[in-house]
This record gives sequence, C-alpha cells and structure tokens, in this order.
Amino acid sequence: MLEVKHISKKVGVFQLGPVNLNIAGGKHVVLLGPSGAGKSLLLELLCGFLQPDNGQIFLNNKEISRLPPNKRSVGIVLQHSALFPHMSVADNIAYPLKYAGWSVRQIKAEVVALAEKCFVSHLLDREPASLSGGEIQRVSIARTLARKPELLLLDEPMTSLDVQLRDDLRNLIRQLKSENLIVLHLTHDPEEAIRLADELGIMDAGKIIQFGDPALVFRNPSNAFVAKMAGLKNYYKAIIQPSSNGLQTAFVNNVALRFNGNCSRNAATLLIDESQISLSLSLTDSSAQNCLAGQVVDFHKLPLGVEVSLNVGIILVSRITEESFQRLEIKVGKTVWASFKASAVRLMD
Amino acid sequence: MKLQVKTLPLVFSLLGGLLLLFIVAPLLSLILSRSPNALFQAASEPQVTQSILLSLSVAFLATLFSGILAVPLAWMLARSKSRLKGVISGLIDLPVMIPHSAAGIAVLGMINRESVAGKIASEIGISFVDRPAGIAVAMAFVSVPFLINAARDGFAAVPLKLEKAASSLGAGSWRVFFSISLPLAWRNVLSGFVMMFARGMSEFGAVVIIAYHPLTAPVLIYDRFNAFGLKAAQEISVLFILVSIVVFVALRMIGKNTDHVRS
Repeated sequence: MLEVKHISKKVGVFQLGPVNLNIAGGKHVVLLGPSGAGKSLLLELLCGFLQPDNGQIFLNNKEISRLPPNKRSVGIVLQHSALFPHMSVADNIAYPLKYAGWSVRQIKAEVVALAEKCFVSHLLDREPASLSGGEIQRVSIARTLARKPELLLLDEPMTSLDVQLRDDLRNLIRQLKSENLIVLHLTHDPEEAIRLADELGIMDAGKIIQFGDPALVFRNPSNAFVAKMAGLKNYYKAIIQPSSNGLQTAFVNNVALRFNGNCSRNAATLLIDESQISLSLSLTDSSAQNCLAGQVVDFHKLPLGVEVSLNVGIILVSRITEESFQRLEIKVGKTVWASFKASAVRLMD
Repeated sequence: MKLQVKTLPLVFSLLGGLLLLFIVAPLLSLILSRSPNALFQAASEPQVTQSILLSLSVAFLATLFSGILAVPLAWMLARSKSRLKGVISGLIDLPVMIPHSAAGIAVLGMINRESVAGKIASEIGISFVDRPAGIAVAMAFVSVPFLINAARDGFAAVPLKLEKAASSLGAGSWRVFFSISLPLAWRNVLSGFVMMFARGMSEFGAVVIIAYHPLTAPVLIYDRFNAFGLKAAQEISVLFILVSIVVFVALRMIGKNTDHVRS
C-alpha cells in the first residue's frame, strides 16, 4: 500500500501539491497530465531524489519520506534509456543484485529468470547501444524488477516507442499486475491510461484534480481540462437560462442547447458526448431535444469510425461509423443535421 | 557561391598549415640537427639519463598524488549547483595564467624552511627546497588544472539520470561513483592525467625556483645552455623531446584502448 499524505514541494515558482494518494498492492494507477503538470516532480519525491517540504509518504506502512533513493524499495523505469552504456544487458540486470549478498550463481540464475520474463533472453550479451527502443524498455523493466521493488514507477515508458512495440510493452506491464506490486504510471497519453489503469488520476498545475475509475473519470470529467485530457472535443463555456419545466437551456454563441438538471449558476461548462450525436440528411421526427443543422467543416478517419466536425454556430464533433459516413456521403461543405438528447449534454463542475 | 565553397577550405588549410609548420619546424630542425651518434653519446651520460628519469618519475608521482585530490574536486565541480563554482573554477585556472617563475616564488614562499608548512614538513622528515618533493610540488602546482578541468568535463558529460538510476537500484553514493560516474568519465580523467603528466615533466619556471638541484631534464638543458652554449644543450633537448613523444603517444594509446567504456 502506497500512502501519500498531503505532500507538497515548491521548486522555483512551481508549487506541487498538496497531493494525497492511496494505492493498494497489485493496483496499476495512471497519473495523466500534460507536461509541466508536476508529474516528474512527484516522481522525484517518491524516488527520494528530492524531499518534500511538507507531508509524508508511506510504503507498506513504513515511512519513506526522508529516506535516500537506495534505502527505498522503489524502482523506476524512465522515458528514455537509463541503461548503463559501459555494461552488457546481463550486467545491467545484475546491477541491483551485486553487493546485495547474492552469490554469483544466484545472480546468474536470477538474471536468466528476469530476462525470460521480460523477453530479453536473446539480448543478454549485447551492449545497450545496440538495442532498439522497445528492447531498451524491456531490459529497463527487468533491471528494475531485479531490485525487487514494492513500488514500481513508470515515467512515460512508451513515449519513444512505435505502435507495435507499445503493444508488446503494455502486455509486459499488464503481467506485472499479478505480483502484488504497486505500479504508478505517469503519462500524457489518454489511450495509454485507459488501456492500463485500474485507477486514473488527472494531474494539472501540481495537483491531482480528479481520481477514480478511468471509465468514470473520462465519462464524467469534472472540468474542461479533464475533458480535454480525455480526448473529448465538445466542451463549451455556456450562458445558462433557467426554466421551470425541468429542461434547461444553455446558450453557446447564441446556439441554444437543451439539457436536463438544475443549475443555479449563470455560466457553466457543458460537455456533449461525440458518440451520442446522430447525423442525418434531413430533420427527422425524433425524441432528441437538440436538432441543429450545419455544414461539414472537417472529418478524420479513426481506427473505428469517422470523426466529423460540423459548424452549427459552434463547432460540434460527432463520431459515426464508417458505414454511416459512406451512406450519408459526407464531404466538406455538405449540410447535415445533428441531433442529440438533452441527456447527452452534461454540465461539468 | 561556388567560389566561396572552394576557396574557404583552401584558405583555411593554408592558414592551418602555416601554424602546423610553426609548431613542427623548430622541433624537426632541432631533432635533425643532431646525428644519431651524438644522441647515443649524450644518452650514455649518467647526468642526462638521471635528469630524464627524475623528470619522468617525479612528474608521474606528482600526477598520481594530485589525482587523489583532483578527481573528487572535479566531480564536485561537475555536480555542484553552488554559485561558488565559477569562482573555484577561476581559481583552479590561475596557475596556468600566471608566469611560472612567479608561481614558483609563490609556492616557495609557502614551503620554504622558515614557513609554517615548511617547519611542519621538516618535523616529519620532509624537505622541499632542492629536493624531489619540492620538484613534485612545483610540477603539481602548475599542471594540476589540466587534470581537474579534463576530469570535470568528463563527469559533467555523464548523464545525471544514470547516477539517479543507479541509486534507485540500491547503490549508495560511493558505489554510484565507482561503478557509474568514474568508469563513464574515465576517458576524460585519463586524458587529464596524461596532460598533467606531460605538462608537469616539462615544467621549468616553477621547478628552477624551488629546486635547481637535483637537475630535472628542463633545468639541465638550461644549465648546459648557460654553461656551454646552444650546441651543448641540443643533444639533451632532442633526447628529452623524443622521450616525451614516446611517453605521450604510449599514454594516448592506452586512452584509446579504454574508449569502449563509453559507447
């Protein structure tokens, strides 16, 4: 169990925290945030390269806040290679085992076992300079596991890898979950977060602003920043006009949007789920409270479906299937109708 | 444009060639001025061989002992974020900037028999003036900046993330230094040792002030020149230059063989 209690650190003008975080053993937690959000600073505090100004860090009930890095059971895999260039792959993996009271035979056996686990057995005699990006990261993980860490920190480990290598590395990281190891994974890639995280934290300006189940966080972003991090496109600053019949009306650039719920504020941020916006060539008789006509201004093919941008007075992004895209003969400049239920419009905190 | 591309390397090659000629011509003309027979004769003189051996051995020991203090200081300078770093770096370069005879006077002022350091040293049986120990101090004073600067550049080039990675893998700071920092900076450190040794064994100005005797090779050359003229100084000069070249090339070769440690 990792318990981060109210830690803060000021570096220059940047203030990290106070940050609170609890991660149970065997859980893979992803902290998602843009560059400069304070992820790396938090990582330096957890590793012991820096000490917090305030707060405490407990790892399996032992306080580690002030311990030097070599006295903590914390392993780290960095974004770019930190393999020792003057040692072979085998010597890199053996590095934490030497001077730890292991015999030469035990070290050799452990290196072979870790290499097998991380699929680098064929690389043991190679020099780090001759390895590819994916191989480097797999060796880095093997070397870090040799330390037998209780907490494994992954600092954007997939940033420099291509798509295929990312899949391989993801599979390897998923396997670690079974070992009661606490994994804290820092990234700015929402896809990486949703694929791996048991729990997701969103970090911005030195604070964790939302934390929870990744699907829930992405489905219910607490503010526009979280929506943006989740890759959501339709979020708007709106003027709210309260009404008494249960449905509320919000205006964005004079475009009226109807939504459910109560809002006591005059202004708020609205989110419309792209997947809930239907497109049609004419105004259809449906239960949708919001029907808006507009011209197609852009479209992007996605691995599953097509993302179509319409100008309906505001830019509205809809995600439709490839089949619908073909059937509606979507092209830039074509006028189409967008319709979505009042429940598809959500008010963010 | 085409004219520029062609003339620039040509002009630069000519200018560079002139400079090379300036360095090589006096040395070559000196070496060729003496017959091999004359050189063998000079080499068989005990005073000549002793002075060359003294220069080499004292410079070697001065470099070795200085290394024990200089390498840690170089690491500190490479890793420190202190504002004093600039001042300390400037201080280290001072012995290179000042006239070496003045450096000799300064060091002699500190280690002569009447000084505090001189008295303490003589209490434990060490005397500097006109002794090999004094020669070593003079050599070290003027040549140690070469070692510190080269080693500092070597340590600065070792990525900090490697030292951090080692420490997160359980290594304490001593182990990080000896297993990561030093092996990766070794090429620069060795190059610093070579430069310091080469500069130290050639030192004349500071050495002659502190210890005219026993005669090192550069002092013997000066002594012969003063007593017997140019020709008398030429043989030992040629011998010392040849020995220096052999030692220098040998040490460079050792340095090259250790290149693989930093890929």
